[in-house]
Amino acid sequence: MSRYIVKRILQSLLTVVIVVIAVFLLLRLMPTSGYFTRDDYINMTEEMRSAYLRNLGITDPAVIQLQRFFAGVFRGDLGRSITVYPKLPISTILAEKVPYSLWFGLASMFISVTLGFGLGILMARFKDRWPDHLGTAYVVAVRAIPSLIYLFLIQIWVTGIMRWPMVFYEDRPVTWILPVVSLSLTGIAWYGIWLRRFMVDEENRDYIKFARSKGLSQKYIMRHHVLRNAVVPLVQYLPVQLLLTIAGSLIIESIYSIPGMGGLLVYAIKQQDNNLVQVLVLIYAVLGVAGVFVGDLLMAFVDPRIRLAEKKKKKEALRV
Amino acid sequence: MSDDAFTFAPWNPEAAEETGYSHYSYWRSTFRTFIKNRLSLTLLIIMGVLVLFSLLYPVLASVDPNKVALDSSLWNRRPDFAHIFGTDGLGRDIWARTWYGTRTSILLAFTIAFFDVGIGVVAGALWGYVRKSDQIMTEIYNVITNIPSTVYLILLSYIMKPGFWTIVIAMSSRGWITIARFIRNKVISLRESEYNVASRCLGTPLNRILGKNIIPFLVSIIIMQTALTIPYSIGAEVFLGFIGLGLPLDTVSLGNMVNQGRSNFMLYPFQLTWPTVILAVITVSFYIVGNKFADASDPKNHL
Amino acid sequence: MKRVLTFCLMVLAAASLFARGAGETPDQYRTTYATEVKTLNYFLLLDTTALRVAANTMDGLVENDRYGKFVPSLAERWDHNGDFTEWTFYLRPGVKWVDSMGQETAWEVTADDFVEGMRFIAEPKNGIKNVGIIRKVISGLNGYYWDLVDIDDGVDIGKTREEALASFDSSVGVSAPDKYTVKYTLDNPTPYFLSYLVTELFFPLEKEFLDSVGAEDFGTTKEKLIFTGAYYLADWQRDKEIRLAKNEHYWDAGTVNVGEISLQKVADDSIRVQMFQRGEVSATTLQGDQVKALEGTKWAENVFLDEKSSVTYWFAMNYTSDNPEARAFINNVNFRKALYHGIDRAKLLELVNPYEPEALLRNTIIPEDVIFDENGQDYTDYPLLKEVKERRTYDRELAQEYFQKAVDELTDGNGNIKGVSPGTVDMLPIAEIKADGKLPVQILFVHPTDPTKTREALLLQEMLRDTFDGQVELVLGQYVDDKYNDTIKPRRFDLLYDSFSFKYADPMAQLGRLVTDGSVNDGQYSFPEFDKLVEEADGKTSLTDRYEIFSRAERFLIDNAVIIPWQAGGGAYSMDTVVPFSTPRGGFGVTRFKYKGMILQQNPITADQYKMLEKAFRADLAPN
Repeated sequence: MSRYIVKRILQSLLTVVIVVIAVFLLLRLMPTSGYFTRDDYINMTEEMRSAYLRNLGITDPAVIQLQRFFAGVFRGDLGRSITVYPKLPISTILAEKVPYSLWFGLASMFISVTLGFGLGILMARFKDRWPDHLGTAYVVAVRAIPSLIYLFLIQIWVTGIMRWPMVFYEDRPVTWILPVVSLSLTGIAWYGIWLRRFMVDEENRDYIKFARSKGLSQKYIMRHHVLRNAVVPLVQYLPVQLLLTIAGSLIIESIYSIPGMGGLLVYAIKQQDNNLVQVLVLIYAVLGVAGVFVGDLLMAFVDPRIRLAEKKKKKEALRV
Repeated sequence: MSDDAFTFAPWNPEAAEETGYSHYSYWRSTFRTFIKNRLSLTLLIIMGVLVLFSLLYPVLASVDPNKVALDSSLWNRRPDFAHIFGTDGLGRDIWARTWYGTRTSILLAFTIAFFDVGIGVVAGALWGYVRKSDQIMTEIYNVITNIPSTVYLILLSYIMKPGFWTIVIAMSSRGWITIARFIRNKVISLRESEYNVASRCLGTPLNRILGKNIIPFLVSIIIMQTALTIPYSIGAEVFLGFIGLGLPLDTVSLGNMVNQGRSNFMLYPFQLTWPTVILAVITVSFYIVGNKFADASDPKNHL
Repeated sequence: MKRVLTFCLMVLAAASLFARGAGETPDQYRTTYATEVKTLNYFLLLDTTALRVAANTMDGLVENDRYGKFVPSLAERWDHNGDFTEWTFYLRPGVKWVDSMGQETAWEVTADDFVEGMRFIAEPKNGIKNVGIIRKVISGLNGYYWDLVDIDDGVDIGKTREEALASFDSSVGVSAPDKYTVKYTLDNPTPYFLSYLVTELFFPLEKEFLDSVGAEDFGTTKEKLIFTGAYYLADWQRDKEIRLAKNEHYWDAGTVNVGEISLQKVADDSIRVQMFQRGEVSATTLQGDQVKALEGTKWAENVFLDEKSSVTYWFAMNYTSDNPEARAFINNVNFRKALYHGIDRAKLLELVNPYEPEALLRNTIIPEDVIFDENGQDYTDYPLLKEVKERRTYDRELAQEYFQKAVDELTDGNGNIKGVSPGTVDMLPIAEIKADGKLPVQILFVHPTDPTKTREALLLQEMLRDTFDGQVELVLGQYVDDKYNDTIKPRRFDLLYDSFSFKYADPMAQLGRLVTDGSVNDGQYSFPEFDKLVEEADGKTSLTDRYEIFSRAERFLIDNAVIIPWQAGGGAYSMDTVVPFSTPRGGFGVTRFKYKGMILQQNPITADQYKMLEKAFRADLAPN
């Protein structure tokens, strides 16, 4: 077990390093003007610019630069933003923005899981009857229609009907509702549809038929056998989704003017803020990899039948 | 008891088949199961008509979807006989734009689906079949799924000019790996499945196993994946338009129409409503048809 | 007396309106901004959001009142010598700098602070782009600045950086004879010097505070700024809100009626009109089709046409384009004249004003009603410009005629453009042009991505196609963030529109930036004749002579269609809860962004109310 964990940790580290190197190399393809604030660039002569780049270390061999980047991160120094928020330490930017995305993300995740599980159970219980059809219609709508359209319509119409403010204000809790609900829509659909499928699968198993013929009540079977077993493959995805809530949602944060992480990466890349891009990519990669890892551990924990070194068929059957 | 109590039966492929379902045809059954479902059949027809119409519209009608009216009284016209869906803020015919836009979006989506699924299936089959490749492919999978997709998209739009192929490359360079993984898992489970092992023991030639047992399975997966990739690609095009990395603004596409119509939605709702309805019908149809087809193609559902 | 009456009228109008509403004067002005400000260092104003903050948190020596008159601000009074080359300002004693908590600091606003402000902007390392505006105004500033630049570039000018820095007090024309007296010495007679003083370049700077935060970090957070204005920066939450609160220690606190200014970041401007209708913002402008859509609704009575500003928009052409087709044509005067007469500017403006688009046109480069000579004559009424001002430029036949001439001169008769070989022109990421060396001539028009500007571009494209029979084909390209850095600097355009805001009350403010090496010479053209006229005019001290020569220079630009003036800024259809004409007025510097004196009312202004107040205001203004 512990050998497996060590191996997985090393593997995860390798993945993170490769991701960061890949993005690092991709960023080299962008023009070096990204390292200057706009005004600095205009005011500098060509010699001043190359001296500046030398000072920053951009002209050093890639290996040395990478070494420096990782050494900085290791010391806890994330560097400073260049163009998006000129000269502001990246740690300050993150400290300002992460809480918004995190709180909204956690709230919506809570709603997604509770309502999504509820929906899934309901749909499985009334399979092929109207709650199932209604649920399916919802899931299809959310997954097939481009989210921009319905999110925008929700904002315009619901705020109009309820007479709520159109954008987010920190001191007015009523404005928190729509962003959280909007964030939850896809999550509810996702948990709902998969839980339904796993429950239906489980119900057709022989041991359930046996349990039924033994005379156990439907309710008991559902609660103690079907649901428990159907939840297992979903549990694995909770950690990664939980951790990546800090990435925020670009569309929702943009239309409700929430100062979260959502658009940060896009701005950073568009404005060629290479330092910021690098740090964000590192963070997302670490969280993504760590999430999968914790998910695997969690799955082993809730389902004693699974030994970690084994291939996990259920996990593989699941495609997001 | 002597040996001549038995005679060797001649090898007869037809007779060998007769042990099973004598008249079972995978494709016919799939098709029959599929059309038994009224909803999916209806949607398939609607989808077919819409796709066909959007592909044929430029041939049939001579309305230029980009024709800007210099006469401002033609701007923002409500739907009437001359303009079935009305006109937009520059007097361009929304009916024509809807069909041109649908066509662009569908072509884009099909192209992406083609590359995603094409590369994904080949890579996935190799991944599943060649055991040695597993470690490398898994690492590639981890890396690709961990680089945020916006990084690709924006970097590519810097290196290439924003446009059709940039989006195709950006989307496909990421999409193939998830499909490959899916295929790989299927291949592994099929390869090890008992009925294939049994077939092999009975001496069924490999090409028969492939042709009768494995390929039908993969084909159904391919069709389903294609059907599901399409709504996803259309949605992605709309999203890219939103962050300013979509198709050029003078290209008629649903993403551009949605993003431009959004700004005046409260004032001229019809400008956004109709393109959106068509868009939703298409994506929902593809989604449901894809899923229903997947169900129908599962032999377990054939009886 | 009359003014007092008007004011009472305004307050009454406002009062009667909120009598209908909740019964209370709103104490908060709410507005939005679209992109986050990079810094709030008030010497480095890069966008209108930063300008708004600086205008309201900082006072300079003088300010404009609501009639546009220069009135005392941090300076109680001032005088100047006979030929307007020495100006002395006497400061208001006892004014304290205020911090981001609204508390008085230990520092008093003294004459030294104005000297330090000048020292700060004169340092090339601080990268103050606008300093070019006054380098040649304050005596000795230009030499001092370039000495430092040379030293930093490694040029040996015979002194060290320390020596150069030490020479500031002796060589640059700003000094503090005593604690409350600031004196400026100018190179040339400058009767309009006061109009410079409302720009950010003349704001004070507290040296001790600057040293405590460091020049690098000055203005990067609210704690790294202190204030002298009617408001202080109470909150600055990146990507969310900038909040200004009333400065209770303000020297003129009695005139500040609104307690709080809130700037909310709303990246998506499409919901702004709805936000206004639901009371979430205090003001909004409207596009043409929005105005039309409001016809017949209850909001129609609240829509009024705002005043035009001194900002001028013009079309710039790239004379050094990489696109050989466009370069050949743009360098041909007949083609430029064809564009001058072929662009139906009023038609483009129908997108913003569907009823009377002509009202927004501006034919001259220098705005009207801003510059007056000794006799009170408007600069744009000088004979050469008056004719331009009153003409109608759009003339289809004339445009076609000029175009034909250009085609005859530039092509070989078979539609091949002389001296242009086919090839692909790389102007990525804006566009890629496949130049075939044949007519139609392809011209890259670059515009921002928002829906209205995109529609404008499409309309222009169709218009030129129509006027020139398909022989002029606009290729549309978009920039995402920044016009200057994405298109002008890397020369990725053939045609675009640009704008300038007026910096000080002299034609030099605009024309001086349009010369061969001028900072807004986007096209990189060179017309020595024009440069010479500008130089000649700038040497004249008599305003009449000066303006006469400037008007010849300006006429030269227009006759040769070097740039094509397009429209005035402002003048948009608006809905507002600010009582009209209650804020400071003026075309220069930060004045039009000031909210001091602003009166808010509960219900939106009606068009009738606006007209009534405008009439009263004009009547007041007339005698001045």
